[in-house]
Parts: sequence; structure tokens; C-alpha cells
Amino acid sequence: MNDYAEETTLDVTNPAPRCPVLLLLDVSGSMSGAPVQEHREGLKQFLHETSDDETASMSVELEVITFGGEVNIVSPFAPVSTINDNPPALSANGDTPMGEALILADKELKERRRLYKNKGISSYKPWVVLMTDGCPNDDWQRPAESMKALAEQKKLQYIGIGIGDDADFDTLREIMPQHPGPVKLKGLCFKEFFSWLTDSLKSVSASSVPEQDNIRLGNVSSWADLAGIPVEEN
Amino acid sequence: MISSLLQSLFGGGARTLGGALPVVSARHPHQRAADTGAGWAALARPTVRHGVTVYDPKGIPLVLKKDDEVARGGEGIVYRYAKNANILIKVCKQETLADPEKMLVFRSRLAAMSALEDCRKAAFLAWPLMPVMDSRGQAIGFVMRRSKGRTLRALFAPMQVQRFFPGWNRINVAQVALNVLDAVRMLARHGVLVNDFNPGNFLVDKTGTVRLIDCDSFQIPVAGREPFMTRTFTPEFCAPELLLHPENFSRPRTPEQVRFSLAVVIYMLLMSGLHPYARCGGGDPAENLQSGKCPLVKASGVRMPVSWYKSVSWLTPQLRDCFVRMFVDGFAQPAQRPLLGELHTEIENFIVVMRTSKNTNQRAILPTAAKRGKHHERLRRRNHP
Repeated sequence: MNDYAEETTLDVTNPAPRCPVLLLLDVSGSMSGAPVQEHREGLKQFLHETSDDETASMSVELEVITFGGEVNIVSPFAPVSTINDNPPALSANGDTPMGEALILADKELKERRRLYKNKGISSYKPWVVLMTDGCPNDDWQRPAESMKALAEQKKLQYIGIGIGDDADFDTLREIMPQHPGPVKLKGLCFKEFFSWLTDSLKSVSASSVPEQDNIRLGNVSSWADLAGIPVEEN
Repeated sequence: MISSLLQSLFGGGARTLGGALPVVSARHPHQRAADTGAGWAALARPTVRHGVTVYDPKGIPLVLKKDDEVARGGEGIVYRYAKNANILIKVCKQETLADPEKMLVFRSRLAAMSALEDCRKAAFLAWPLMPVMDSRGQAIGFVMRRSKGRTLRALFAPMQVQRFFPGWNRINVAQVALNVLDAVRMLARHGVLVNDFNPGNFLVDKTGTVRLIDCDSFQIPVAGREPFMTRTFTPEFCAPELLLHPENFSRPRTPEQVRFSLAVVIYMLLMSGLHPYARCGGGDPAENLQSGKCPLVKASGVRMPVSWYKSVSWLTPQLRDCFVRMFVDGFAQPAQRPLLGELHTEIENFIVVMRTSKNTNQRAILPTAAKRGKHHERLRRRNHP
């Protein structure tokens, strides 16, 4: 990344510690119709509500990567309010190259954290949200290792969400750390999920960096279908 | 006692702060609900939100619906009241109601706060206006003004100022700093000290009016005994003697501690969110604060983040000196901390300089150049007589 690009995506006049958030969204063909529409609305609401909070808007920096046919960075890392001014368009298409998306996500996160370090900006641990309604059709085992290891060391807040009955929870269990593991979205409750994510990030950004592991997250009952998660296959 | 407290805090006289009636309350950032590491099941709890009916002192019922809940704290739940958009009602939670000791403290503190009539009348305070009772006539909550505005964090980065307060310059922000100072001085005139200088407890609107919420966390004086106080605090705004010796948190706050905490808030306002102990390379502000190394002086051995040199250079030398005495000389010697009256005067002078300067950088939120020192000025005059 050249110096100009750094200056345009990283506001060095903002003294707040940053919380990099990476949304890794499945937009494969099976998400077309209501799922991608609800997803888009939920994301818009998240962008609006997080930007409107004077604490979260200083800290949350978002990147959106989609995987559907191909893998794209539809919004590179930027303050959430900047992305709110120009929200990414989500459209469903193609298969599910999740492995390639995991490689890109890992690379992007590392680059962002390196940039913070070079600029002397404190940061919270990153949040990665992986949302999928199917199973990967590329090699995902090796690409999944890096972020899984970071999450197991509590250096990454990793949230894996399966959408609908066809989500492959066995694969998600392999990709995610064992604790807390993947969770199933209740119906198409994207808005409820993103509302919870907003509240969580507000709490993180209102805490100090050393205090971040002690914060308490809100109730997930409105969007998490805990009874609907398929039992693990032996 | 109050007058001596005032004298030691501020030296000179204080003026009151006016303002319009508040409207929206900010959510307290410390309201949280299960650990980040907890499993999903631990985070999935049935939603327990109850409506409640309370009674005003005349016995008239006030029905508070569960959907009217706006905030939840350690002691109580705050509701909006459907029939009056200008007020909020705080009602003690079941856990508090079930604890006679906590209820005794709550009722005694409410009585002490209610006795402070000037605070009750001050439009900028979300002060208890009247108690609300249960069906047996026991006080279980109170009515307060509903406050409107953004938290001070909306002024803690140039981009934030531009977004939340378009058109504002450093004069507007310095005026907010004065209003914060005036609010704290007015409280101290009545012996009330702000315990927790959390920027989330100070709201500012587009007119620059400042309003204070979470007033029952303040240190409230009681004749003949120790004041009521809570242990809530925000580390990066605490005086070093509290952070370095946490046992001091259980003692009443001192005027010197309030001076230090308030000066951190004011410095951050004037410096677009830069903490006085922020240093090149980052780090946690509270940890940097405990080190005592303030980059305002070269001898500290730490440097200020590069982007802020320009902002510091446009402060008046007297105001900058005030901050040096507060954060460097006053770090280990609280008595060295300048009185808030002096800080007030220097901010007023800074505003005058900003208003009269022909250089737009003097009043810019984000100056494009640093102020030239005397050496540069002499050179300029010699080369361009």
C-alpha cells in the first residue's frame, strides 16, 4: 500500500484506538433474493448506527470482503462513517470460494495491524464476522488455520454465523475456534444481528484497550438460533 | 466547609451556566451484559424487561412501559415517560429494592440531592426533580430532566467535529471547554464534586450548551458526615494519586483531583481528543498517565504524536504553561495544580486571541501549519521588512 493510500484510509489525526472489523460475507448464488436483500439492509443499518455513535465511530474501522463466484474487497478498511457515506452493494452470484476469502482476510488484517503499529496507533483486537449459507468449494483447511489460531490465543474475536438449513456447520466448526464455535442465524434476522454487533462494538470502543477482554456482550436471543445448530458429526 | 472547598478549587468567583431544557439521554458506556469469551448459550438469555407503575408525591400513578426503557445501570433503570417528553424517570432495580442497605443509601442520597435547590433548578443538570414512590409511599426512584446532545467524544477528533458539528472551529470548542468548566464550578459552589469525568456524562448540543447526566454518581455533601460518593471512575481521566494508589478511591475526592481530571477533559477538547500523556508510538492513555511522562516538556523524554505539534503551537504560552503546571509540576505535587479560575481566565484569553488573529490557523480545528516561533518571526521580518 503506498503512502497516499495510507493517508486516505487511516485518519492519523484521530487519537482513538482503532477496532478493525472485517465482514466476510457469502454472496454465492444461493443467497440471492430475500437473504441478500435482508443482508444488505442489515449492513446499512449497522453502518448508520455505528457511525451515529460518537465513540464507536472514532474507533471502528471496517472492511467488507465478499465471496460469491469470486472474492472481492467491496469496501477496503476505512472509518465506518466513511463507508456509511458510500455503502457497498451486495449481489449474489456464483459458488462459495471461502478458502480464498479466508486467505485475503488474514492478509488484510495483518496489513492493517502493521499500519497501526507503524503509525503508533493503539488498537483493540480485530473482529472478524464470517457469514455463510453453504459450504466452501475450494481448499479451506490451510487458509483457515491462521485466523483460527489467533482466535484461540484470544487475539481475534471470531464470529462464525451459519445462515439457513444448508449452512455446513461441520466445516464451520473446523474453521472456527472451538469456543464459542459457530452459531446459526435465526431465520433472516440480519438486522437483529447487526444491531447486536453495533452494541458490542460500542462497548468495546467505550472501554480501554487493556479492559477489552473484560467487557460483556449483550443478549443474542434476538438473532441466534441455538436450538437449530445441527449436532456435531462424529 | 463548602466555601473553603470552593476557594481551594477555584480561587476566584464562579458564574452559573444556563441552557435549554434537555431531551435525550446518552447510554452509559459501562452498561454491559456476558464475557466476550463466553459461549453463545451464555449470551442467550430470556429478555427480562418489565414495565412498572410508580407514584408521584401526590399519589398519581405514572405508568412506565417496558419499551420505554432507555438505559440500565447498576442501581436502577431509566425510562422515558410517554406523557412528558422532557423528563426521564429512574426506578431502582429489583436487586436494589431487595437490599435494605442499598435502599437506605439511595433514599439518603436522594434526600441530600433534593435539598440542593440550586442544582435542582439548574437546567443543565439531570438532577432529581422529585421522588417517585411505590404503592406504600416509599421512594424508589426519581424524575429528572431529559438531556439532549452528543457526548464530548464527538469533539475528540477533527473528523468527528466536522461530522457532528459542521462549521465549528476551535473557538466553538474552547467555548464548550469554558461551559464544562463553568458547570463543574457551579456544582462545586454547592460542595458537589464530579467523581467520574467520563466524557459520556457530558452532553453538548449545537449551540455549545453543556449538560451533565448521571448526576447521582457525583460526590454529594452531607452536613456532619462523609459525603455520598460512588466508586465509578474512568481511568484516563483520574488524578495520578488515585491510579497509583487505588486505596484512595474509597476516600472522598479532593479539589486537586477534580482540577486534574477536569484539566484532562479540557486539554482533550482543545487538542481535538489528544490525551495530555499521549505519546509518539501510542499506548493506553491511563498507562501513559501513570508513567508521569508528559510530552508537553522536552525533559519528559517522550514525544507528542506528530500530527498534534501544530495544534499545540497555537495555544497561548500562558495556557500552555497552565497545562504544564497541571500535568508536569502537578503530577506528583497536587498543590502545584493551577486553580480552575486561572485555567478559565487563560481559556478566555485564548478565545480573544483566536477571535482577533488574522491567521486562520489560529482558530482551525486542524491547523495546516505550526505557529512560527520568535526566531522565525525575526527572520521573516528581516527578509520581508
